[in-house]
Amino acid sequence: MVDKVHHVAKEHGMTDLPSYPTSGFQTMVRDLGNGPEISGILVDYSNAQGQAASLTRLALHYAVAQQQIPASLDSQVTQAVDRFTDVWSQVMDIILPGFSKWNPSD
Amino acid sequence: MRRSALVLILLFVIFTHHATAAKAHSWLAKETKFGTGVKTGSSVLQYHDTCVWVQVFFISEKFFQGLQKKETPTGTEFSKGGTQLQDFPARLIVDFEATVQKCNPTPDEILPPDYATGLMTGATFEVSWKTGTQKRSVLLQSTEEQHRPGLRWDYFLAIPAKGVPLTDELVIDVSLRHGISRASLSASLDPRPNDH
Repeated sequence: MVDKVHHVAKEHGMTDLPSYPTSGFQTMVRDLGNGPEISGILVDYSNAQGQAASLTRLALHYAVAQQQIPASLDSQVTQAVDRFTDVWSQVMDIILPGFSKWNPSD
Repeated sequence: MRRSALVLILLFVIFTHHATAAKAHSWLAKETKFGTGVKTGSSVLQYHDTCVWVQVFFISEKFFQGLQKKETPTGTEFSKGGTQLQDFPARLIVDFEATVQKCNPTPDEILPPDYATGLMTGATFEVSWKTGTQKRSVLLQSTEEQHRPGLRWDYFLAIPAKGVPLTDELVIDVSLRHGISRASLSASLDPRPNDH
C-alpha cells in the first residue's frame, strides 16, 4: 500500500521520496530507528494514539446504547483525535517527507 | 436600606448574567469550502478493530454564523442579529466528518497512510428529518467525498431543508463497505437529552 502511495505520489511530481520500511506497512516504531528526529515524536505518537483510542472506546459505549455522548467527553474525544491525527501526520512526514502537504487530487 | 439595595443589585447581576449566558450558546465551528459549519452531532462507529469518530456539521454559507439559541418557557428560540429565525435555509450542506483509528492499538504500531480506505471509500447515506417522533425521508441532492491520504474523511451531503424547523433533528443512516457495516446517528441544533 505504501508502494501505491509512492507510485501515485511520483505520478504527481513527488519524485524524491525516501525508502521506507519494507514489511508492508506493518510499520512498527522500532523499524524507524532511534535517531533524534524520530525518538521524541514516537513517544508523542504512542501516547496520542493510546489517549484517542481510550477516550473513543468510552464514547463508543454511549453510541452502542443509542445515547448522546456527554458534552465533556465529546470535547475530550475531539481534542484527543485531533491531537492523534496531527502527530500521525508528523510521523508520516518523517517517513514520506512532504506527505502532509501532498494532495493527489491537486 | 443599604442591605436591600445590595440584595437588589446582586439579584440584577445574577439575572443579567443568566440572560446573557442563555443567549451565548455557541456551537463548535468549522470552516469549509461551503461556509462556516456548526457541530450538531457526534458518534462512534465500530467495524472489527476500526473505530470511526464522527462529527456532523451543518453548513449553509454564513447562515449559522452568529446564530443564537435561547430556551424559553414555550420552547427553543433561534435568532440572529435580533431577528427571530424559524426554519433552515432551503439548501443545507451536512459535513459528515469521519476520522479512523484502531479501537485497540498496539502501542508501537503506526497506522499506514491508507488505513481503513476499503471501509470508508464509497460510503452511502440516507437521511430523514425528525419532528418529535415523526420521521420523513428526504432525497439527497448530492454527496461529495473529500479525502486525501490520511485518517480523515469528509462527506458533504446536500439536503433539501426548505420549511424545516430549526428544532428538527436530522437522522443520518450511513452504510460502509457496501452495506456490510451500517449505523444511524442524529444531528440537531437543539438536541434533547439522550437523543441519538
